[in-house]
Amino acid sequence: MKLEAQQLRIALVGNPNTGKTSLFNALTGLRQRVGNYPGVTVEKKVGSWALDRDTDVQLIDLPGTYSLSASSLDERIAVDVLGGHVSGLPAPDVVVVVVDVENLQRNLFLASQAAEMGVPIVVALNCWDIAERKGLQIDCKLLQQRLGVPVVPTVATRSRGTDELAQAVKSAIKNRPMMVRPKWPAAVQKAIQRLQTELVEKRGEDLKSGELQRLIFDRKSAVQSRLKTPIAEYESIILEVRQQLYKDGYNPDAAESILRFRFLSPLLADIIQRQVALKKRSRTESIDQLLLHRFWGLVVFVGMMYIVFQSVYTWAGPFMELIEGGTGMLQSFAAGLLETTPMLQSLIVDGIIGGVGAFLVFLPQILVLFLFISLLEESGYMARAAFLMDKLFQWCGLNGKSFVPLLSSYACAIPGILATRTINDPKARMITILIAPLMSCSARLPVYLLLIGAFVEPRYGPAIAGATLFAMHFVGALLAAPVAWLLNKSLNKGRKPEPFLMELPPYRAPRMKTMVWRMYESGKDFVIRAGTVIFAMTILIWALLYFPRPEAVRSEAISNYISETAGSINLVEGALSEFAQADMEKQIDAAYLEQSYMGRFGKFVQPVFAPAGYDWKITVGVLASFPAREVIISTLGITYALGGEVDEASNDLRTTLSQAKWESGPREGSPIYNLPVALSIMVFFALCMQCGATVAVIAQELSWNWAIASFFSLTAVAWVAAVLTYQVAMLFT
Amino acid sequence: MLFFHTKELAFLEEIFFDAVIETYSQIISIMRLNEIKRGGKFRVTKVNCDNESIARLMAMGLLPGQEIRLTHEAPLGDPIAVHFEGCHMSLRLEDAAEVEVEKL
Repeated sequence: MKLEAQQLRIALVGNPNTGKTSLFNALTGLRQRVGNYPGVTVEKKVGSWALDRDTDVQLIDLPGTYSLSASSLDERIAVDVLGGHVSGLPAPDVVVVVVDVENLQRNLFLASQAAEMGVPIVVALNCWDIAERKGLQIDCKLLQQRLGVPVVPTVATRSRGTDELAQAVKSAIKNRPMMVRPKWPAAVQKAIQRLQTELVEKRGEDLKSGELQRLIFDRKSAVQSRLKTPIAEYESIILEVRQQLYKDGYNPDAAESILRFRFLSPLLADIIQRQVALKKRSRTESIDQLLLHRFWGLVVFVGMMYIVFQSVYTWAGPFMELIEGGTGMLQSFAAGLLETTPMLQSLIVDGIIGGVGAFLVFLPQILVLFLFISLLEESGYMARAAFLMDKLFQWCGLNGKSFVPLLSSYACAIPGILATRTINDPKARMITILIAPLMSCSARLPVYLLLIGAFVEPRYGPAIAGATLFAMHFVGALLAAPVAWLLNKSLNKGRKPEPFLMELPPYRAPRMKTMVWRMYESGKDFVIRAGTVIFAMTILIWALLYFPRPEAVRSEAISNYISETAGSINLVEGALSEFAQADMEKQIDAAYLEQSYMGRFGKFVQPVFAPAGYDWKITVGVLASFPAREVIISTLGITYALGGEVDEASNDLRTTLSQAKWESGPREGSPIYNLPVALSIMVFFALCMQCGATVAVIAQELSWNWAIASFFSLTAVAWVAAVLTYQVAMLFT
Repeated sequence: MLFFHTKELAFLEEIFFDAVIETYSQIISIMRLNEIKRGGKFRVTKVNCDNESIARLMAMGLLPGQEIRLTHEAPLGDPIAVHFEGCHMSLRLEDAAEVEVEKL
């Protein structure tokens, strides 16, 4: 047994697109877990790395950053972890800085910032193979001498150099090599010294030299939020120090970058030798000539998005049908076994098996979408897609990275919301998550098809029917635009959103292993965290629809059925024919539903929905479909005694709906379903978040507060819109 | 200017000319990163480090003296992609306007 408490901690630091995550995966394999840092949504990846047969160390993958300036959340986390200020994570024993050979200077900028935090450093020169292929020769020994820390060439994607890296880290644990640091000009030294006296010596703050530098060079340093000194006091000290530095001829905002690069460039002189003259245009640049072309780039983009969207629909389709079919078979099998105990039968069949099926059915779409997302991200195209689309999103505080998640939400909001993990700006990500449920997902389609088929097509013909279907797909997006704008106004409160700076990395061939890994991770996350909630909700709705179930309801329904059909009943040797028997069972189900808790609640709540033109049956349908909107079809089937197996194409259901009449009240005798009601139901379904899975996923990705808030606000908005639609449409009929 | 004789008017004249000269210098000589065309190399002359985006780009090496070129414009004209010091970065026009460049 290895003792957890004595375990050594190694942190992995690096720029984005350096293959840092590939290296992390190569070093830890499957022995990793993903969580969040306390209080923030930044992903925390921790794994176990075997340096040799007896030494297991904890490897922490820090978010990819270009610097430690701590203006973004990712950078704040990086500074705090390196300083040892995250609860449960003492300062790392060794920091491995992953450096892209092709961008040595920029990558070592981060390394030299990390070195200021007083931690031993090992440099991993990654993408060695690409450099070799391009004819770059790097004098590792010389670099090692000049930096004063071990430098190890690696190829993370092929797990090359990992043994050497382990060796270097092992010796670094013992020798604690410190990377060479810039010798600051007198004015900067004075500023650091001043803060050292004021904050550390006089006020007892626990700050390393690197953290003092952050306080001087960064405007709103993350380090500030950790100080114990009263805010007014430390702010005036820091301001004074920065002003003095300015008077001494160094603009504190610019000084660090200028001085550090001035320090690095002579260090790197004659380290790199080009054996082959650089080609005039690299492969990436040639590809970009097409993919970022102002016209052809868009054509390719639209084509690619079409393929992604179609695949999420069509590739996932058969698997979804398989899951649904499997659930159905399992249900009828279980139903047969449990014939004698109707309550248990219903619980297991409709509750448990139905509940598991309810979340498993999302899995194919999630996996297919994540296959494409990792393909787009790994290859480097995702950044290009965001580049092409950015302008469309600028005005509401979002950026181009919102496009793919929102498009995927048209297939299903669940994978769409999970796909927002590709958006770095936390506010933009939050807004995208909150508007994703407004995109018309495929579960709304059956509702549109049923109502359009029953009320629009017969009267106005297929052309108008098609146009209505098309329009329904834009109702939500139309609302999403002002919602996003308002959210941006209130979340950012006049501040500018995070700057939209994005590297357009070189194109790389995606690797199967990484893609499969991402599919697995997203699927696992969903099943464990959202799946359980969806399951619980399905059971709850089942119970509300099932109970109470007094025997009296059944006998009353039977006697009603017999007296209603007295003349025409087919008695075969004194018993009901098989057909009549089944018909009667449906009547019994309808009667049970009417007096179930859900039925009673529907009748009770119906006045709320009266302004939208709904009777109690529609109200029950709407309420029962809060866990999953497509449920309304089968619920309507049961309430109209057609059985729960009807679908949107069912002629029975369409005719029954168009013949349904008000039984009492001011509109007695007139049809319940007219065009305004049909439109109002569709608008309600287009806007309302009737999807337990979406609520659960929003809670998983943001918080329960946000999930509940967005649930209630979207329900309210849907109600207002449904009432408006009905009332306005009634004026024209 | 024949019409200005008094001291006050001469003072106004000075202000007026200053303003004209400033406007002219903006129009004629100072070029900004949001205005450059594709093809051709440029050199960064001045950056506004008050801007958060620019401060980040500086940490990547976008400093005065750095060579830079425009590689792409997005279909709607914004953002743009620039190449400097081994970096291929996309940035928005409003941020690019904070970087002054000269043609090489």
